[in-house]
Amino acid sequence: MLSMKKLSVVGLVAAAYLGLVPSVHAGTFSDKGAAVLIWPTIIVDEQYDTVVQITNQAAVPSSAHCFYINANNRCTNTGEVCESSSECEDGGFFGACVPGWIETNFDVLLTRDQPLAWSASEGLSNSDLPCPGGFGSKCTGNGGTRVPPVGEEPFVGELKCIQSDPITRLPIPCNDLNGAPCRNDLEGSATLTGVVGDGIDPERYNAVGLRSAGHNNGDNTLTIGGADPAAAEYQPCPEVLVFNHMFDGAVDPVNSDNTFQSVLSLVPCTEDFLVQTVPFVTAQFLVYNEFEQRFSTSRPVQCLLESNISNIDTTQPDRSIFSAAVAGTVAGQTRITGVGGGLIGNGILFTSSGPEAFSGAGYNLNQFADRDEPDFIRIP
Amino acid sequence: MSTVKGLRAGVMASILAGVALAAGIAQAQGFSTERPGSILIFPKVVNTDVNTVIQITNTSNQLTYAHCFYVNGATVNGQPLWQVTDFELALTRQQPTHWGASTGRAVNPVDSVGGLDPGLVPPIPPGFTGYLVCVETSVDGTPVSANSLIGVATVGAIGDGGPNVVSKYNAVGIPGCGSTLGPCGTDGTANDGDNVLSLDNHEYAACPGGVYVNFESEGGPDPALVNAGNTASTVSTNLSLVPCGIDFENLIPETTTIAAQIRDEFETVSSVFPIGVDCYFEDPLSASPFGGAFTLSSSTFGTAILRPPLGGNGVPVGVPVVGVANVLRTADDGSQDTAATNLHFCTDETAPASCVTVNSEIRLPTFR
Repeated sequence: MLSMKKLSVVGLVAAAYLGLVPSVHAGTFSDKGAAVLIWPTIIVDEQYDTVVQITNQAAVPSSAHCFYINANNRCTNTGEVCESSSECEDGGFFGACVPGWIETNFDVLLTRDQPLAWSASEGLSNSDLPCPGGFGSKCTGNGGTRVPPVGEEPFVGELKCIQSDPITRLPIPCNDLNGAPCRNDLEGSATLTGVVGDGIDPERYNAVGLRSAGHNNGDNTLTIGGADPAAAEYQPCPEVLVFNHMFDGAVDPVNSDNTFQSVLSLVPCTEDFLVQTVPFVTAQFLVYNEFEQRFSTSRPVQCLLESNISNIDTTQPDRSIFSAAVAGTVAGQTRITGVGGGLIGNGILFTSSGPEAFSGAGYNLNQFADRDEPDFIRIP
Repeated sequence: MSTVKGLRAGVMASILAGVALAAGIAQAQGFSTERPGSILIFPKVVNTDVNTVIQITNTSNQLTYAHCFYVNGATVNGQPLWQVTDFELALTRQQPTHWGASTGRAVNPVDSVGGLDPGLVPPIPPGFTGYLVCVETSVDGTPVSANSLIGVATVGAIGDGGPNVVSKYNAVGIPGCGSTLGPCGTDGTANDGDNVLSLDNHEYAACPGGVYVNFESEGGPDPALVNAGNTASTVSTNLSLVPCGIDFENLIPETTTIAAQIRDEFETVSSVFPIGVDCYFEDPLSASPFGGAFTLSSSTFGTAILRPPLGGNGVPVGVPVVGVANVLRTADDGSQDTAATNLHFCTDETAPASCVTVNSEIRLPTFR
């Protein structure tokens, strides 16, 4: 039987152990440097292109191992990109239009304090690199970088970049308490620019960052959050995403000729690039209007959810709980919780006074609390 | 029995010591554009040829209040107006609210504006160019560190014969520390409830040492529009900056001077100093304070750190700033649109970034 003395010693040892392991704290960051960056909305189509910008905040070179995830829906019978099953007709038979998940990875090597950007439709080839090195080059350090254009047009998907060792392409082993500090050097943004009708429509948001939790074993499984601080390599994904939005169809309080529409993009925190399993998370939506009245719905997020908010719960927007006609107010707060995994996302607000007069504005979601369960990114 | 109690007490004490030790190493949260805070700063609020819609949400399950201040930073004959208008809000649990800055919001349950009216919100006058600060309080106006508030602002205009320009950004949230287990880490203390909000990582989070501005070359083309055939496109970034420290009690506008360290894709380094921020700063990167430094000679993209200069002892001289960047794109047919983005916080205190955290304060007016 343990004596009081032994139990106290056990407790003190546990205390010392907890003290030596840096504790994780507070969610994702779109306003600070990070070790993993996620761009939840990358779009390339007839009207829109996405310019991705990534910056190394450190005074030393950094490398990122990046993954485009093509989340286009595809017909099960033809493999063509589709929006609905009605587009999957072949020889009189209809296939199903199901979510897809095709991953392409590449490396980006950045010099100290360097900003780098590319168009998703064009990529970044050797001749476009600012610092390829070699004869005639102004600077070195980008050698080894080659960003492919996205795999197809139209393209709807996400981009993920992990700060990594340029040789192993795995996260750099580190421990803040052992003289090998973990790095959070990357920041990024995306601008979706469209040429639409007679006008242009740029929409910009900051990439969402996962910061280091203070130690990393450098293997191919990135552990994000969780109750065990000794296991967590990155700070946790948020427990709740808070989406501050206008209800669809709401009238602009300043100019009553204008109405609002919002688009929400969600991607799972957990992704397995090694075995290419399509991540599946159920997003629960708790919607508050300005009367403090509450509605709720849920929707599976299979790889990527990118939707007008009034299409989240119905195909008939006027009947949606996200519609101003149903909610009864202009502004709303939607709290999004992932079941079976965490979620990351961004929003876009469209303001229009007609089909040819509109403008989109991208912005980041707010968040609340940290997930208790860990998420994982497994890379090849 | 006393032995068993003693054993449990010993184990509990050890575990509590461990939790406290672990909490001591918890990383301070700092200013945030994502997590709820006890002070919100909306760095760009305008009523000019474009307008602003403000949204604030109470993310807690408790009724909360806010004391808000519009600050008109427009200049007249080169002097900032620094005109302050304040009002109060009451938000029920989880309540979102909104108002148009130029129209305000009345307390009228039978008007066409749906929702619980949060309080009487005054309209801002035409020509207003400035910012909004909201401080979370209790019902009697005492500041509290409940960290319940988030906000977003939509800036722009559609139709009316002008360009369609709409952009959106998150309010900058300053968390209240609350305790040693709060977002400021072990230095955190309870809110003393007086009119001096100390941004010092004790009462509220301290000011981050600087901000990053990721920009496209001022006046240069936009790559996406070029790819779409708009070869004469141009890009212009407008910065809205607010000093991290405000005196509403004595109505003394905060003045600070910041420096810009600029680096382009080719590792070319340049700098601009001094950039004066007198109460409020709102100018495009092509404006004279920047001396053309943001027009890159051979690069399309650049990054800059804006922070106060360091004195001889390595301590920043002056307070840093927080802000947003609003990027205007113009296509070769003259069509325009904007896209705003929150500026990243610079928290790297090592050289060359040298973004040393700065203690500051926000002084609220006291009414006797």
